[in-house]
Amino acid sequence: MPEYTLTAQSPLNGAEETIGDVKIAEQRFEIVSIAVPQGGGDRLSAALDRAFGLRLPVAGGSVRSADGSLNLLWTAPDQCLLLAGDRSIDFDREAEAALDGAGYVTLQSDNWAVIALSGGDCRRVLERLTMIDTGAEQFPVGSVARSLMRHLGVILTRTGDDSYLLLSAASSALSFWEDVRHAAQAVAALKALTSG
Amino acid sequence: MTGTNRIPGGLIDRDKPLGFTFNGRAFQGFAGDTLASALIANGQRLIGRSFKYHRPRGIFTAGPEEPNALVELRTGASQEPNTRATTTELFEGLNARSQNHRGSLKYDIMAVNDLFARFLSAGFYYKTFMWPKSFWERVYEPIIRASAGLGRLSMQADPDHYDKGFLHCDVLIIGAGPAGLQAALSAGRAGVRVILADEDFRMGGRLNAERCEVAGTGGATWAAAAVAELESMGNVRLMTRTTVYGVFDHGIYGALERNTDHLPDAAGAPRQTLWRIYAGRSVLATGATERSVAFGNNDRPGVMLAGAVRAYVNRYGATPGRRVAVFTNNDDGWRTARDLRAHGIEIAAVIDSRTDTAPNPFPEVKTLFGEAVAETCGRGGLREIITTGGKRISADCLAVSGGWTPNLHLTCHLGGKPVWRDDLAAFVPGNALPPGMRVAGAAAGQMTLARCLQEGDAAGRAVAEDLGRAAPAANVPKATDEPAGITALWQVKGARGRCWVDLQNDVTTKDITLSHREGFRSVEHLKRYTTLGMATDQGKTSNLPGLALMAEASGKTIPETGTTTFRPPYVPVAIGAFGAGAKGAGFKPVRLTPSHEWARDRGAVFTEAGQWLRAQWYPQPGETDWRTSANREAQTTRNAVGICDVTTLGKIDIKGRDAAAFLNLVYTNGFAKLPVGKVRYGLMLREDGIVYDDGTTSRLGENHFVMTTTTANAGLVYQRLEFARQCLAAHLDVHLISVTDGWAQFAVAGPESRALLQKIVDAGHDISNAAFPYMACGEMTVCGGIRARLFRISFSGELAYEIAVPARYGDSMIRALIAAGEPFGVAPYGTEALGIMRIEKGHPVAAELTGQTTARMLGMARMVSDKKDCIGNVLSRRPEMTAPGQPRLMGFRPVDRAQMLTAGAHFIARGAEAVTENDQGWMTSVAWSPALGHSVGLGFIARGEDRIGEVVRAWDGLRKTDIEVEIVSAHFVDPEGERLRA
Repeated sequence: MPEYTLTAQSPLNGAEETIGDVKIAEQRFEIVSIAVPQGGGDRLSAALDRAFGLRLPVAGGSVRSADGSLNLLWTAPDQCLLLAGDRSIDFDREAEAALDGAGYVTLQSDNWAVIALSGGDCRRVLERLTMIDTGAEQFPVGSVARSLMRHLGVILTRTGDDSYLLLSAASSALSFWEDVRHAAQAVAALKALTSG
Repeated sequence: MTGTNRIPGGLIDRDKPLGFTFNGRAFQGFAGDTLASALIANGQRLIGRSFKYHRPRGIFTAGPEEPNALVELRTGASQEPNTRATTTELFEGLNARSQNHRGSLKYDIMAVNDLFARFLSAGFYYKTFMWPKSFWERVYEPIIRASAGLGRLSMQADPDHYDKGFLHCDVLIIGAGPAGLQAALSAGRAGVRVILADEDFRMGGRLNAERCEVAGTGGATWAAAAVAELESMGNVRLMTRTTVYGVFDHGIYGALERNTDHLPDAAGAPRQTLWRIYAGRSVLATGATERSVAFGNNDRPGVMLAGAVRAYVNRYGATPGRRVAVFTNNDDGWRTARDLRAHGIEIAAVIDSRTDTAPNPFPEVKTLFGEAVAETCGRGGLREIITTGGKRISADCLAVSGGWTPNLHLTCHLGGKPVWRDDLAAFVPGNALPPGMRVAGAAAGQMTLARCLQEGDAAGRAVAEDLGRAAPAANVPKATDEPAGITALWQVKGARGRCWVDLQNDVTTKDITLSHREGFRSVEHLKRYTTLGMATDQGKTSNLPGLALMAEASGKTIPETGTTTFRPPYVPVAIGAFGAGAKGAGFKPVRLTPSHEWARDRGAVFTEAGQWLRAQWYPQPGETDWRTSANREAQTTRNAVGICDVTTLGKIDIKGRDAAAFLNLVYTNGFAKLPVGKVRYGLMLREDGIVYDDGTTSRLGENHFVMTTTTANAGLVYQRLEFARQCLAAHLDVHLISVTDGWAQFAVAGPESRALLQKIVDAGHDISNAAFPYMACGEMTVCGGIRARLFRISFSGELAYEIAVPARYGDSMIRALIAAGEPFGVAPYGTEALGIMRIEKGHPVAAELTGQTTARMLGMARMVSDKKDCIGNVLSRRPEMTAPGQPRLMGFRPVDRAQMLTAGAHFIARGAEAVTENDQGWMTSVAWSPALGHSVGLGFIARGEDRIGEVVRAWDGLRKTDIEVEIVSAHFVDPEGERLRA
């Protein structure tokens, strides 16, 4: 029996809030980055398929596994980010073994705070946060973009008709949450003005 | 009480009465009124006092170009000066006060200025307030300060918040009058993504102010139907109360949306939203603004623009007078007479300055051709006008039309220049438009209704075609073109009295002549010398008349004279809107370490390190001075064990077949042969050979390294590494990613550090000195199987480690480490103690890496390998940087141990004068050393390595100290490094 035990916390402590017609909630994933070795794109894509039923995403896009628990986001010309639900902190070791050297895997789980934004007004909220064109036709489901939200770097992806994931650095998670919340509150307050 | 000047009709809602006050008096208006229209309806003519001469002024226009009717709106912290009554939507409980008078509005004491008008002409302040010199600060300045400015601030913090956003569209249509609405319909029907923005609360532009017909129905009715159709289109976004205030590069437009200015209460919503709109194309359909004519005393309450009179009688059901005269130089002014007649308002006369017009269309109305208004009478409000032919005509309102000026400002924001049209007596947009912009309607000089609809339609369809969308067949609603002839008239010959040009800044024709006489020729100089066009209305009604008069004075044509430069914003924009979201905590994000909450609960005092909050020291009960706490923390660490959160230092994960070769390129010293399980200190140079960062890199695997950087430079190092990877060495297979936030990392330092860690690290991982020597690293588990990384590195100079766990365990980990350290008397230490210890060890930090520091200066010349290349290697060998006599980082201690050294002091020889020529170097860092019991410092001094033992002076001109110091080794504590290797 170890003398001390460590308990885990998430950057946003499971925060969740419904504001008007949107919901914002922390989402937890195990996350790894996968870098493409020079000249090794095809080999990696094949390995991703064998291991996870995925393939390398195109620039600005993402690929989901059949059961939906894995989401592979393009993040750079030779890099992508794999979001995995229902996995453990050792997911990087699991992925590394499964890919058998075809890609360089680095643990990223605790580097990111992830906010799920959903609801009918989610695009109105995003308008206030990012200069990326998040119009329903211009940013279809599966799109990925790296941008700035206020002063924070963010990875943005659309996971459903009215749902998005926003990833930002874990250390500034509270500022990140406040920015998103603030935008959602503005949208809700303005809507109440016109309908009320 | 409906108001003495209410008339039937208009677009106001008489089922929704609204109570408001002006200067404390209660009035009533209706929903759909502006403050101006409601005041007019209630017969209130006197609204304010002019800027310089404090002359009585009334409402002049019906739009944002208003120069006179500026009020103080709202009370308390929300009070805002210089609010145009003409664009203020009326709401229940609105509270407005007139501005710029001492005493009441009716009996303003400062009106005495008008008697001294001769001495207050343009530029008077360049010729006065000079004598006696002593009077300037004590007498003149306070007087000027008290009388200058327009309106008063509440001096309280703005209680509202604002926000910002970003919008995208295929085409931004600016202005929702006939041209803009039709353009939106044509483009929208073709499926184009449209944003249509209008500054008014009701779309329609002049259609709402005129009696006109479109498609067989009233103009306002057609406009409402067009808006309804546009609202039903999913690809069209309508934005009312939104001013597009500027054009910027790359198809970006700035717009201000007023969300709550028309409501009594913001109810928690952002007051205004500043939008950045990305539009590949735009249609400028901003219409035109009417201008007046300069004649004697043309500024009295009751003198208004003719188009504004129509707006009040047609849209707002309010007449500005009961006996109205019309003075015009163009066909459009006659429409005011026609409309007044239709509303049954008595017309005193129509005076047309032209001689070549058709016979009098209103036989029962007195009409004068070839004459002009020479002057007006009625100080508190218009009573009578006098023509150039000597006729005296009584009237309580004079509707003036000098012509219409296209609102082309946005076409010039990127440097374009307008072109002159004699037939319009106005400028129209030139050829160099902002990329993607088209202009339609009156803004383009197409002044008549049918043409506006046609041109708007053409613009919308052209945009659709550009985008490859099927444009619907031309479907322009039927309308006619009204007559629009004009003969320019800028000032009335034979006018008596002063003739105003810029009403808001009180600039008259005399000022313009004066400025010409004094030698000012450029229109830009005219503007600044007279201040014409520099008030909050930005000269919307006065710029063109001003430069036309200047042209006359100089004998040049108007196109030769040119215009002043148009710049954003088109209307004043609150600074709060530009700074949206940046108030207080919103100014910048904060990065918190995994132990932050624990440290905060422990009473730590925090400091900002870049964007991070780091514990600076942890005061214990009874400690009142930071130095006491920091000294205790440093001593506890050196004598027992201390713990510091070092998560903030950059951590970059590096992988790849060529990772080692890459490190050899970016570090001055060799890394290719670093064994797995070892850490090495490295130095990084800029391309010019200057040291810019240092850190340690650990090899965790054959192709796996983890690099640390300083906290402040983490981002910069990452950026430079990426540049090197992508551009300088693109042939190498190496990949980077930041892991700074992902690992909670703690320094555990001191003679008891190993013993402490042995309680944390799981059995089975041998961290004895033999198995885990100085500069070892490895992956292991702690606290019953939690994965961790251990690095044996030391910044404090003691036996020390850094232990890292995934950040989710960080909070838990600091508590476990402190609990495990209790028996040893552990103390958490902050950045102050960290600083003391590293100074005692002579480790350089940012204070030493000034951007001019070389490896040689640090005593690390041999770390720049001559066996391999690295970034900065070649330029680090420039003769100037390797010549003898270079500064060297040394230690300094005061000869008199009781004295306190200061950083920034300069080294001068004993007996030498404290001048630059004798400067030998400077002190970079100092600390009072608890280990030694006296002050110590680090600094650069010429040839320091050869001068150990020598005494010089540390001279500080700022703090007035001059202390003798001995040059010593920078490594004050444990110079042999025995403790490190224990």
